[in-house]
Amino acid sequence: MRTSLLTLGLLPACGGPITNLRFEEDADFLAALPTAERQTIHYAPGDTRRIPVALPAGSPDLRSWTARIAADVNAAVLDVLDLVDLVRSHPPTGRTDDGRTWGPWEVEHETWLVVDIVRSGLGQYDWTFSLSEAPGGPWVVGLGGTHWAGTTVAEGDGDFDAHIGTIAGFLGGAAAGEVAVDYDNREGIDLIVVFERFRGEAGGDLLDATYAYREDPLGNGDFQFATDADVAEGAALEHVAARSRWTAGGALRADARLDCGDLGEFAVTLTQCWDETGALVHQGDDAGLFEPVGSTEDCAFPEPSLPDDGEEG
Amino acid sequence: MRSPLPLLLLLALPGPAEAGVRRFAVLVGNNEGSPGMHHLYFAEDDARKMQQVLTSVGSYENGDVRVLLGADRDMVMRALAGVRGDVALARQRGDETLFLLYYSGHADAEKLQLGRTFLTWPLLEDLVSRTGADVRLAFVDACQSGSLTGAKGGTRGPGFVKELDERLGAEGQVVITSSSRDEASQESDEIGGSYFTHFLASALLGAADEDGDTRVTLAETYRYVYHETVFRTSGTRTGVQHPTYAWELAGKGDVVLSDLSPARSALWFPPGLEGTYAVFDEGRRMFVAEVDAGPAGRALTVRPGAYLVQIRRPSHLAVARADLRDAQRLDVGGLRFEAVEYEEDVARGTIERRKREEDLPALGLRLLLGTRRFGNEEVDASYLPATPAGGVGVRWHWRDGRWAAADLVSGALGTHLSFTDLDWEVPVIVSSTTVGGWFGIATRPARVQAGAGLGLGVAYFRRDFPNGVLEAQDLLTVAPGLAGFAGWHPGRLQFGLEIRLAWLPVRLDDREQGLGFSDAFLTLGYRF
Repeated sequence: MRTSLLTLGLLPACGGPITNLRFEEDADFLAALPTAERQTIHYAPGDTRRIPVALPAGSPDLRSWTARIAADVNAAVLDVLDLVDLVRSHPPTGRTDDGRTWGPWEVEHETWLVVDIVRSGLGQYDWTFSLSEAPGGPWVVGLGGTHWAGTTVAEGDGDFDAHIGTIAGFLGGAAAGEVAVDYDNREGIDLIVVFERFRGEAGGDLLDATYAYREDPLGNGDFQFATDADVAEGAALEHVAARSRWTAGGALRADARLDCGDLGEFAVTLTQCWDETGALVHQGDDAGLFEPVGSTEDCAFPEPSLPDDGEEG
Repeated sequence: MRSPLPLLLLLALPGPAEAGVRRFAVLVGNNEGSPGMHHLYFAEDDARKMQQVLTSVGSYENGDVRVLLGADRDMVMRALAGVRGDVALARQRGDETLFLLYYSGHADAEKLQLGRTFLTWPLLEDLVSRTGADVRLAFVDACQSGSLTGAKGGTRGPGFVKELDERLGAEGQVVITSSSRDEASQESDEIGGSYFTHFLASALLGAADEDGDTRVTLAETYRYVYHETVFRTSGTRTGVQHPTYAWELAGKGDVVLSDLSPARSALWFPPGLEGTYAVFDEGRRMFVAEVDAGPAGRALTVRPGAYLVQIRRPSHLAVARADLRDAQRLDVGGLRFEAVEYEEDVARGTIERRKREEDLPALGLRLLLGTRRFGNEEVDASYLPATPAGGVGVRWHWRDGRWAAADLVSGALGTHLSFTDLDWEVPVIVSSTTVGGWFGIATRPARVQAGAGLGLGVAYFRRDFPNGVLEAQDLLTVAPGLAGFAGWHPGRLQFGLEIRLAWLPVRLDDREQGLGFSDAFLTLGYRF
């Protein structure tokens, strides 16, 4: 009798296991895709606490201008990520040990989308969003990239390319060009967004620009870019290279160099600094165009810095 | 020569069958006493036997006889209060009223012991008195029940008859007990009941009808019961048992307890039939009465049916089968008796079997309906969602509080798994079946009962994915657990709440781990 009871107690479970690993893998595959949280610029988040302060008459506001640039970049990236988000709310339609497939789905009339994510190596995920006029193909890649997992799948690095013109060719609209994104989310956020011959849905001139964004785990940020923009009187586009650095507390320094275009051989380098309360503590330029304010010693970042030459457009 | 006066008075009073006399009875039987008291085998059977006797020969309407088996103090008090109302209504209509209380069970010098509850002798007497009936009779078959009559100068012995005969009219209260205040009242395996009630029933059925007038009076009843009880208990190991009485009857006359009118079916023991005959009801598996024909003969009024009539002889038992039809008066002297070895005594064997059955645990068949829940919130959301569950089972209760159970429970639900990292849900059908055995300790069987115990079962779990996302997953494992229950048992029906906690050794994903699961059931049972 005693032996029988012991035997019962030691009986292993038969069958099984009850496992959700397949669904956990679904989550891993999805984590390899870019997200709005990880692939956008969080420019000077302290701005929301700021009380606008009047600048000296005729002075440009580098801070606000940079914030608009960041918002434009984000808008372009988010347009791309909208397509990515399509798959997040649907289970895969196909599963293999190393891959997941969503679709084909008809996203517009006679426009079909299929999404493939393949685990092509240890921690490496290759993914594509492909479009076709028919569910059987042929398929054209509109968006694709590669992600390498870090400590977790989401905390990795990777890159992706959005073929804006290709996508617009299927879905319609005036957008054109390419957007290439290189990111690293392992410690904070590193993001480089390159626009080539890009034009958004609103139309306008084709844009070539590179934007580099870095946010460390403490919340300190750095945003630099080089682009052509019409910032001076006249029709020609000037070349603008700008860099903003800010602390988690909200103090910010912006340096910008303008040349070419209507400026001709003339070039000016402008610096503005704000403290954590939002007050302008320093303004200066090397051409004496603007009323000087304070001293560079009052800046959270005393040393001037402009985008590296290699990052200028 | 017997004085003719009592007979004349008797004829002057309304008999039980006459209009204008309404009879009520409360019959209480309880096999259980307080913790530590031994179990009685036949107290509740005795109450049932009295019900049959009163409704067959006592002129009691079925609706006027309340039978309380295993009842507690409150139930008895409610029943007596009900009688009080009935008596008042009857009296308003101008009826004369008679109330009879019968009790069989445990008692001591101070009180009746009704399971775990009790009723003191003075309170019982007061409650009987407050029924308001013209004549109130109490027959108490319990140990030391003479305490009830002793307080009023109760007497033991046949002198009771003489004193009663000398009263004028019939109004008041009489108490008859099975034993005096320092005596035990005994049950007999041989007769399948208590001595006192056995002879009381025999008396009412006709064994006490000394004058052959087909009416059994209170006086005849007491005299018969006293003599037979003293005689039959004088040789027992426990010792002789003396029924006692106390009377407070005013007026003149005796009280007729049963009517053995010729219209009823009866076994007739003619004059000259020697010895004491035992009559056993084959259908109801109980001794009915013991009858001594005497010089005038005796009619034993019983319901139509099959009876065994037997008499002990030095070397054997003489047994005859009597099939009694409605309104038939069957002459026992004309029956064909056959010699039977004592070992083949059918009546005794039946009673012994009945007693063995009484020692068996009470068996209840149960339906269970409730919910089954697994593990913590994560398990519930992502692995095995809670399901409705139902099943069938049996549970045995022993009188000492032990219980054991076995059941089969299944549950199933079509639902969805949800995951914190995913925005969609996965359709799934979760099902489970468990077969388990349980044992434990409970409060003693009563109207309200609670218990707890341990169990061991085998559990089978399964997940099916309707859209083919995954192959079905299943698991067979052992499931040790704990159980607790509380129940309400009105009669044979059992309503309850039962909670079970079990532990399963399982593999979830790639981890071996223990998984708890709980069942919460409402139960509906029937006790056999």
